[in-house]
Amino acid sequence: MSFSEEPVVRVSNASIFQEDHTVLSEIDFTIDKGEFVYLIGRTGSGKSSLLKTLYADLPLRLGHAEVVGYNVSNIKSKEVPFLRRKIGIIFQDFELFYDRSVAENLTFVMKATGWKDPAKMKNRIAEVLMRVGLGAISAKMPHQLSGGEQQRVVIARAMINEPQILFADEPTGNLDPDVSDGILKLFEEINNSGTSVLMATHNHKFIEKFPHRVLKCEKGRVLDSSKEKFELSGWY
Amino acid sequence: MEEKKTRKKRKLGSYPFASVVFSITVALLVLGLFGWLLLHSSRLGTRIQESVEIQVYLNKNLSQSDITKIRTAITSKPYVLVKEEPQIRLITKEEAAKQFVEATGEDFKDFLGDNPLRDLFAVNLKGSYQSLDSLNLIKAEIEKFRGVFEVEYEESLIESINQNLTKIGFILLGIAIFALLVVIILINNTIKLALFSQRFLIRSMQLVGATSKFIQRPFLFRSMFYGLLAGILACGIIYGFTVYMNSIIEGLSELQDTKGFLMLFSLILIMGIIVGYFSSLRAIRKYLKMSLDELY
Repeated sequence: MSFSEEPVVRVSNASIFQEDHTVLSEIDFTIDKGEFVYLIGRTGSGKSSLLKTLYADLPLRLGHAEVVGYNVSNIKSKEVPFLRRKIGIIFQDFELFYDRSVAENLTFVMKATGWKDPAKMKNRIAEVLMRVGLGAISAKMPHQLSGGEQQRVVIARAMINEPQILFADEPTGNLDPDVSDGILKLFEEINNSGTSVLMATHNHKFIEKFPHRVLKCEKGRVLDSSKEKFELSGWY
Repeated sequence: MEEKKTRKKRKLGSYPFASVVFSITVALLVLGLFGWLLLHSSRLGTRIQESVEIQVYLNKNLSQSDITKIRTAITSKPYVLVKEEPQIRLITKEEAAKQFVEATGEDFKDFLGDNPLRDLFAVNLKGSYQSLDSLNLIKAEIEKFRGVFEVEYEESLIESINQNLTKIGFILLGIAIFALLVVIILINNTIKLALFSQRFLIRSMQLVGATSKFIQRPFLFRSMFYGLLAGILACGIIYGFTVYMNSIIEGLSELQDTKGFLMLFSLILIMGIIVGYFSSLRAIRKYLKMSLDELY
């Protein structure tokens, strides 16, 4: 593993557009290796667009952004898959497949990202499932799991290719508070082992329980708690 | 049984195949029929052309050795059809007169007192020398021989044979091209629907970092397979068609040989695979470039 001092994400002077109107402008921030950052803001403030831009799903038309060594502002479509293999995406519209078992869900990702050796794949699946605190569930179907367990599988899936950073959008959106805390603890553990996390959330209790740096999307800007003070309240 | 059904996985790259295979089959069938007709008509055309004679009229009062000399001179030319031996025969003026009398029932010797006809050689030419240009050259060449009075041939007959063969060929080719266009459009739409129904799978693959080649591959394999399947179907139908035609048209099988049919069938199979591959490649490139949001 390399311990370079290069930040995992570096965004400078970027603007994000949705169709023709500007959602966010003059965005400047970096995320260092091993850092945990919350991304907050009202619905429609541009959180999701910002995340989408970072994993090259939304083209960056103005400004500069570098993610895990890839320049997102002029990335070639051929390079996008390789950028995404170095990041983990945990998203609302990126669910498990309900027509196949947990192991098959994970195998699907591995095959799609170039894994070939069945023995290695099996080992890696056991490894990531252990990592997210799930033991012998690989043969189960997703609908046989609880919501929290399903979310852990989603996180396991994101961890398969040892990403440098996890992008999570409302990872606890549909979970009850106790389960949510468990998931957040899992993110903490993953973060403690060196993976950066950028988590968009509406749950301000998280920030009270596990205080970290906060980025806030507000009125077309991204405010950074490490640079300026701002009210955490007023967002939900 | 029930359990199996619910566990059936949606596999990437699968799409409803019946209509696609059907339309590729139709296109290949038309293309194959074009080839089939080409195969037969070129043989048939050659046969017809070879049965057309040019007539070499000789001067009057030639000696037997002069006539033999002319025969040798003509026979040595490359354009004379050879079937076991050169296809040239002498029709003496007496034979010609007899034929004329038989055909018309009138004996002109009665009122002419003389036979005005000439000895002639009827010569069959090879099919490749049947264009009007080369016929004119041949006519000019033979007419220079000493003792040859004139060379004649049925210009209009030969011309109409040549023209009709070309016409039928063009019509079939036109239909085949049209059918191929239909196939391309149909595959395009089918792939679009397939991508749409599998958009969640594809979306997930894109999010985890699957290369677009990886996503395309199952679609391409499948459509190549469908193309091959359609090719086999088309070959089968053409084979059945041939057997049927042979049973109702006498002498048709004489125009056929195994080599020609093997070539035709392998061409159809290869075309099937190529058509399947390229039309789905084109469609999938187009729709994968589109973001999946646009497909929704």
